[in-house]
Amino acid sequence: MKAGWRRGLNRFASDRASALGLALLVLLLVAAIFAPILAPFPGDVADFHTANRLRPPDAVNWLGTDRMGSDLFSRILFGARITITIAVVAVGSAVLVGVPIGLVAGYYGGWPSNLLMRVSDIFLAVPQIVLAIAIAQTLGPSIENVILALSITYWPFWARLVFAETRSLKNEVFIESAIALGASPLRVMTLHVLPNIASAIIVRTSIGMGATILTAAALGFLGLGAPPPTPEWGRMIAESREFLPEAWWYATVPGIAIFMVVMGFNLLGDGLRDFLDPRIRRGAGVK
Amino acid sequence: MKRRTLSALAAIAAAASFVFSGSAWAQGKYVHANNSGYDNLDPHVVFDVGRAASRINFYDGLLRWVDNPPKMIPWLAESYTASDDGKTWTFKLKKGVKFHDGSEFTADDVLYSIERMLATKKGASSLFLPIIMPGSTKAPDKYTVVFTLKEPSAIFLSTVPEILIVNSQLVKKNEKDGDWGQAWLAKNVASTGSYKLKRYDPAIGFVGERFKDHFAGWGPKAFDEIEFRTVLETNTRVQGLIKGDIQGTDGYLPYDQILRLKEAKNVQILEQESMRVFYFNIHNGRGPMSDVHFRRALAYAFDYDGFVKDILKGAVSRNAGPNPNNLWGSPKDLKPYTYDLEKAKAELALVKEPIRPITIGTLAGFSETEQAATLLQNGAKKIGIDIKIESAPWPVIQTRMQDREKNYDMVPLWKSTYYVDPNNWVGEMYASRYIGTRNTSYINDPEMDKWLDEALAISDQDKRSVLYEKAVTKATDQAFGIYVYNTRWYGPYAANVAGIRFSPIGSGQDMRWAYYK
Repeated sequence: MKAGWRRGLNRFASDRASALGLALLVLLLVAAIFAPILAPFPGDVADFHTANRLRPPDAVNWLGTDRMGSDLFSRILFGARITITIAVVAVGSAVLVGVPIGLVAGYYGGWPSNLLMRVSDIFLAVPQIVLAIAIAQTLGPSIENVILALSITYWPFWARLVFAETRSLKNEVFIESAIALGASPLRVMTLHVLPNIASAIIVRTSIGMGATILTAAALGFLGLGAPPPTPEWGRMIAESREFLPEAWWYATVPGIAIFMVVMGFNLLGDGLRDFLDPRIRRGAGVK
Repeated sequence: MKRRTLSALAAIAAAASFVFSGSAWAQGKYVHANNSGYDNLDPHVVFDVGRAASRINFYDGLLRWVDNPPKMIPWLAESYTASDDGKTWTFKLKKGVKFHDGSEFTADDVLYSIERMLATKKGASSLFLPIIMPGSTKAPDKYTVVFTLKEPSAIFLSTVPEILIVNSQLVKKNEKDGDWGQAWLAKNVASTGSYKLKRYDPAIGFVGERFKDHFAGWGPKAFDEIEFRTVLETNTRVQGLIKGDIQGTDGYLPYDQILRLKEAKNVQILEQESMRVFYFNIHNGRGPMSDVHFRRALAYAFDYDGFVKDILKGAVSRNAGPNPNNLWGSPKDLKPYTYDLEKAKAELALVKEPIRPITIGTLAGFSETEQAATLLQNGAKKIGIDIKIESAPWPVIQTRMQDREKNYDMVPLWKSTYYVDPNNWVGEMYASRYIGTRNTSYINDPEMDKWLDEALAISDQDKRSVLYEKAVTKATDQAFGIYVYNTRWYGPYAANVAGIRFSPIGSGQDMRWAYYK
C-alpha cells in the first residue's frame, strides 16, 4: 500500500501538467497570504490617486493602474484572498451538504432517496449560473451572498456523484460482509463507503473549485458580487470594459489571474484523478 | 457536401442582408442608443432627461423649448396673455391640429391633460399641484384655455411646455377603473406629436414613425423613422456609434469616451454650454445625514480636484452650489468646499447622532456616478465613515428616491434643466412643496421655504435673485447636498447627422428637426 502511494506521488510529480497546476495554486496561496507584504501599494485596495489613472504597466505600477489610479498588481494580490475565500467556503459548504445527502440517499434507497435525488435534479435542471444569478440578485450584492448562491446551486453535483458511487459500492462483497457482521449503517457509511469514494470527491472538489471561481467572477462581472471598491477579479474586468481597447492591461490582468487559477485547479484535479484512482494504483502495485 | 454549400450560402446571404439592411435604412431611419430604459411611455408619468425622448418625440405641449440658450416657441398654442395680477393665463390654441387618429385637437384635450396630471400626481405634476386647483382650468370656447392660478407664479409660463397634450377621447375610451388610462398610456401613444408609435417593448425601447400630418410641418429630409433603444453598456453604445450601427447616443458619456469618439472618423461631437449640475443628493430626513456636521464632513471628504481635473479631464467646471454658475441667482463669491480631511474630521467630531455605515445608490449605465461614489467612499473611509455602494437602473433609483423610507442615503446624479429658472435647481431640490416628487433631499426648512416661495410669487428678477442667492448660500453652507460641477453638453452623433437642435431641456433628443446630410 505504502509503495503504491509513493509511486502515485512520483507519478504526480513527474506529470508536468499536474505539477504546474499545483505550482499555480501555491502561487495563489502565497499571493493571498502574503498580499500585504508582497503588494507594492497595499493601500491601493481602497485608496485612489486619480492623477495616476489608467497608466500602462511600468517600473512603478508593474501591471498598470485602474480607472481610479490604483495599482493593479496590488489589487490583484488582495483579490486572490477574495477568490480563495469564495472558492473554499462555497465549495466546502456544497461538499458538506451534498456528500451526506448523496451517502444517505445512495445507502438507503427507497422513497426518501428518490425525494432527495429529485430535488437535486431540479437544481441540476437549471444551469448553475442562471440559478446563482437569480439567488444573488434576490439577496442583494455582497460576497456573502455570492458564496451562499454558489453553495445553494453547487451541492447537487456532489450529492449526485456520491449517490452514484455509493449505490454501486453498496453491492460490493466487503460492504455486505460488514453489514452481516452487524456494523451500524453510520459505521458502514463513514468507515467503509466514504474512504472508497473519497478520491472521486477530492477530484470533483478540485475541478469544482475552478468552476466556482469562474462562476463567482461572472457574478462579480454582472455587479452581483462585492460592491466597489473590493478588488474582486470579476468586478475589475467589469470596470475595465469601458476603457477597452485603449487600456488593454486593465481587463487583461484580472483576466489572466482568473485564467491561471482556474487552470491550476483543473490541472490539479486531473493529476489527482490519476494519483488517487485505485485501479491504477492497484495495477501498479501488482506489477 | 451539397447541403453544406447551401447552408454556407445561406449564412453569407444572412450576413449580407444584415449589412445591407443597415445601410438601406440609413436614408430615413435614425437609431439612438439610450442608457436608461423606456419603462413607461406615459407623458404625465415620466419626467426626466434620461427618458425625455418619448415625451418630446411623441407629444406636443402648448409651447415648446428649442435651441440654446433655450427659447420658448408657440406650439399647440398660437398666443397667450397674462392678467396683470399674474394669476390668469389665457392661451389661444391653433386650429385644425390633428391627432394621430385623425380627430381634431381642441381645448377639451388641454383640460383633460391638466386634470389628468393633477389627479395622477406623477411626473411633471409636481410643478402644477401647488398652483393649480383641479377643476379650475376652463375652456370658454373650443380654442381657448384659461388657467387660473392659486397664487402668482414666476415660473408658470416656463413650465407650460411640460403640460403635454393627450388625445382625451382616445384615452377616455381606454380608462379602467378610473385610472385615467394610466395602464393603457404606459404602452400606447395618443397625441398630436411628431412621431407615431410603431413598436414598443419596455425591455428594448421604441420605434416611432413620422406623423406626416403634423401641424408644424416637416423639413424635406426629416427622418421617417426613429428608434430609441436601451443599451446600458457604455462600451456597446460607443462601439455601435463608431461602427455605424447607431446614429446617436446620450449626452452623459464619461469624458474618456468622448475623447475616444473624437478620434473616430464617422462620429461628431456637438458641444454646447449647458446647465446640468452634478451633485450628491443627500437624504437629510434621516440620521446621521440630518446633522449638518455630518454632511459637512462628507462635503470635505470628496476629492473635487481628482474628479474634475483627473477623471473628467477638466471638461466640466467646478460648481460650488446647487444652481449652475452660468445662471442668475447664485452669489458670485460662493465658496466651494474643498477636499480637506482635517476639516472633515473636525466636523465629524461635532456630530451628535450615532454614525452608521451609509449607502450610496449609483445609476447603472452611468459609470461616472459610480466613480464619484467610490471617490467619496475613499475619502469618507479616511475619516472613519463606511460607505456601501449599490447600483440600480435609473427608473429604480428614481422611484426609491421619491419614497422617504426607501430612499438611499445618498445618490450622485445630475440635476438637468427642465425650465430655465433658479427654481429648477435650488427651488425643486429644497422647497418643502416638492417633497417626495422633485425634492428628494427631504429638506423641510421654514427659512428656505420662505425665500423660495416668495421668489415664486414675485416677478421682479432682481428681487428674486436676492432670495435665490440667500437660498443657495444656505444650501451650500449647510451642505444639503454635495455640489460638484456644472457640465458642458457633449452630444455624440454620427457625422452625417445634421439639424440637431440642442436645448438644455430635452438634451438634444428632439428629432423632428434632424436629418442626414
